[in-house]
Amino acid sequence: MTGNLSLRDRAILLGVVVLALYGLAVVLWFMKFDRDWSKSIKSYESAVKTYRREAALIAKRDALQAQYEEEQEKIPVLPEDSPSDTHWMALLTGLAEKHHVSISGKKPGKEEQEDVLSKLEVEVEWTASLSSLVKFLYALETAERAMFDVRSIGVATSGRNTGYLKGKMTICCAYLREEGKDK
Amino acid sequence: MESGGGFARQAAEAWSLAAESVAPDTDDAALDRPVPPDGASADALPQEVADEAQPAAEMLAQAFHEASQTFKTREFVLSVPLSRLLVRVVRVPVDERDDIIDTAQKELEAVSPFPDGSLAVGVETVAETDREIVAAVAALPAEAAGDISEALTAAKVCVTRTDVTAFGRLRAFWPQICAKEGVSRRLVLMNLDDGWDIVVLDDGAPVFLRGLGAEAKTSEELARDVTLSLLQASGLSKPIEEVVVFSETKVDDAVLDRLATFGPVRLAEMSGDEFESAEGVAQRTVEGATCDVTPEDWAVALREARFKKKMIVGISAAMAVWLLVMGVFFGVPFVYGQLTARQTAQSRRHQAAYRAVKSIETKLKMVQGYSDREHGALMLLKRISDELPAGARLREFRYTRGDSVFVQGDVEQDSVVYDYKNALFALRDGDEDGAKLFPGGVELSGLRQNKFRLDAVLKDPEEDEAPVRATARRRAK
Repeated sequence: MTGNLSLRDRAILLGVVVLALYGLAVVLWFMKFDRDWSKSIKSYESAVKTYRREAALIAKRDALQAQYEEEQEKIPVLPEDSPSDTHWMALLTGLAEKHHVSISGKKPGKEEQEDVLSKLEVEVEWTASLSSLVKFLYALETAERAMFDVRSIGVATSGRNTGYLKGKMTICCAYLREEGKDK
Repeated sequence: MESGGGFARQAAEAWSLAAESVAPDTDDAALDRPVPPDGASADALPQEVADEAQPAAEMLAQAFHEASQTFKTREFVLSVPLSRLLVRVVRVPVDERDDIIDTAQKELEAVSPFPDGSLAVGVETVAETDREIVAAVAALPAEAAGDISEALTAAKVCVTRTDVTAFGRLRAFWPQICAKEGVSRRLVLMNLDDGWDIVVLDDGAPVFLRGLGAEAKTSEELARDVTLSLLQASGLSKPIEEVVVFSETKVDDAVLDRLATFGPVRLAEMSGDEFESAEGVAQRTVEGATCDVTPEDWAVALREARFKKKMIVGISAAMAVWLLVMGVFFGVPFVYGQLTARQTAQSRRHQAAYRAVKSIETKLKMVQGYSDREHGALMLLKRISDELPAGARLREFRYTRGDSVFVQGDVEQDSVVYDYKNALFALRDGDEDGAKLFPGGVELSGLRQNKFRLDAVLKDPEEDEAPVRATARRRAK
């Protein structure tokens, strides 16, 4: 078919074919390379972000260490083998009685270990006036030689216009065992 | 090839310029351009041309090759001696100016010894009056240029223009030819490397041109050829007022004596520059002389060579662009890969220190998780109670640290619930210390018959784990 074409025509035809292939290749390749580009650019940006975040954290080493030591001082320490549930239940009961919170049920969980920190969760069913509840909660937060944290609480009115509230709360008692104190 | 009156006027101007000897206007730089060897002469050919053992085409090819190397070009202007050309001077009426090429074509085809061959005719107007145009027409039959074609092909060079050597010589020698003024008919004889050329000039315009070939001529033979030439020119009626002789070799006295029978002989001095006639051709090319007898196959070869050159440049440019595009396509991911690897290596170098600090931070957050009072149950209960609008009663409060707050109550007017929500929104956005009471948001999830229910999410959306909507969780339960 191309036998009758002059050199110029053949060259033009070849050029057109090459250009068409060029365009097709660029389109196809660009679609692939676009993904590769995005992926490689995102990888790089992620690596930079990670490095900066890590470097920033390393720069805060002394401040974090000081802060941790300060917080650690507030954590109560129990002897290594002493039972924790009786210790904390007694303390909780005492605080509840002191602030006129009636505890109808207590259910201690198992002692759990989170890194160096030990914790014991106690589920409590209670009834109290609003002021007693507030005082009790405040007492839990400010108790000495103890670190109580109310993980959850449900408060609802107790019947119609009785002025009393009732509900459940989960109190977490955090502490250190003597062996893990200085870790 | 140009045709019609335009070309004729241009040619006429070129000849008049030549006649006025305006050589000083010549572009000197142009004269320095590559000047090809005379096609049929040995002007620019090496001495070996004289060696008859070597075929002429081969010698010519070698000369082309050397010239190509010297002048760094593959395109030449060539001039061909009269002995290879069909040359006529034609006269056409002025009103047939546009038909001058056809006339020339017919004229030359009539005298061509190669009736089957097509002729590429070169036309140059040499004189013009009110009534007629005098034009020198020439053609180079392909059969007479076979050796040149072979040489051009062998040397891989092309011809952009083919002139008549005699025209170049006339251009170069014009000041000497016209040295004597007031001459009407002048006979010019040029004995150069390719033998005798005879030109009859009437009032400065060539009316007859003839090449006698390279063979040596006796005085009688030369006189006979001159007589025949004058007869062909316009008869012997018009007297020869001057015979101008150019010769690069000494002319025999017998020849000069015999020529003197036609008219007073003047032996013009030559500069001794062997490229003088080539310079004449170069000048004519610069001045835009129209006579071009380039055969069609040479012109085709030139067009193809130029096109090939353009094609090669185009393909090279396309390849370069292609390489550039590929370089960018492959290079960008590669460069980013390298940068990422370098960044990762930097991270790896401080991993030990990072892990140590991360451990401290983790422990700190863990401890703070139990000692944080700002987001504790008591503080939340206080803030929600503080913001409770007048006339509203809180019926239920549920709190889970780090997860959600749920509030339900009664109101006297529905609108106050929205005020309440707005107040909680303010707490969501943080107070003066920047602490956010409800990092995740506050949602009014139910309102009917003076009862309201509000959900708030306590999980910080900036944390890795997505916020958990308390309502959704409760509904799931």
